[in-house]
Amino acid sequence: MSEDRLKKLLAEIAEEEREAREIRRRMADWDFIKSQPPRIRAALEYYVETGDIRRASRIAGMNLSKFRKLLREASIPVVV
Amino acid sequence: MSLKLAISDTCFIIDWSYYRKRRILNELFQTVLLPEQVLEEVEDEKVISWISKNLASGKMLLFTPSPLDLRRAEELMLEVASRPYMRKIEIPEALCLVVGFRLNAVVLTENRGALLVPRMIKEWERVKVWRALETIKEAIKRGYVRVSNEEDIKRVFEEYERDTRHIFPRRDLIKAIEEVLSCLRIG
Repeated sequence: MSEDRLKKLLAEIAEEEREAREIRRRMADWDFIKSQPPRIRAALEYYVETGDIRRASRIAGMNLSKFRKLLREASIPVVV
Repeated sequence: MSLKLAISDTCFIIDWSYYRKRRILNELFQTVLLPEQVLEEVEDEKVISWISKNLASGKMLLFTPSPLDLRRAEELMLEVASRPYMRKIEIPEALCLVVGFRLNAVVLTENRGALLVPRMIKEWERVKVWRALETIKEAIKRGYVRVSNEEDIKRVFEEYERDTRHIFPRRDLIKAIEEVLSCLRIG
């Protein structure tokens, strides 16, 4: 891949990630997130910022399935 | 005519199980492969129940990866990790990409890292990777979901977003709706 093409692609990806993060931040139920125990709260905040469900579920000490359920409870959408 | 094979990762199958029109996956594909590693990650009752029904009817097939698939998945995972600008992937989604490549199966995933692989690594360009967005779009285009106007099309995507609390990026959604409109010559 040429350097120009790679730069363009990376800029597109960065923009997609920025938009997704904005949506997660806006829609999240922050009262719910703040009421959680520290480990869970950190995992949810990490997810809002990164959208990385695998790492976030590890931070929470939960499997993927349970963490996805928690995201629904916290009104944090998956933006993909 | 339905497509032959797909392979699903965990994130896709979890969200898809919550969708009221989840049956369209069975119409789109003759068989959906589910790697053992993916099944192990699922605990949600609703998801397990839907998967079990599909395994019983033969629409889904539990897939045991070969040692070679696992080795290749590990290699792919490391290849992605060696590129600092890419989002890391882990074994379950790397495995789906490897098997998708080998069997010419559509890879169903909502994992950003996995979605970027065919976009960013030339050797993987030919792997078809679909999110729910592409899956629904194809289902409408192939007539598994009946629509008669633009509002109908929008509604189908909105139903998915509502049922699963999943949001499609607006730009991608608009493009998908335009593609369906043009394919069905509506509007």
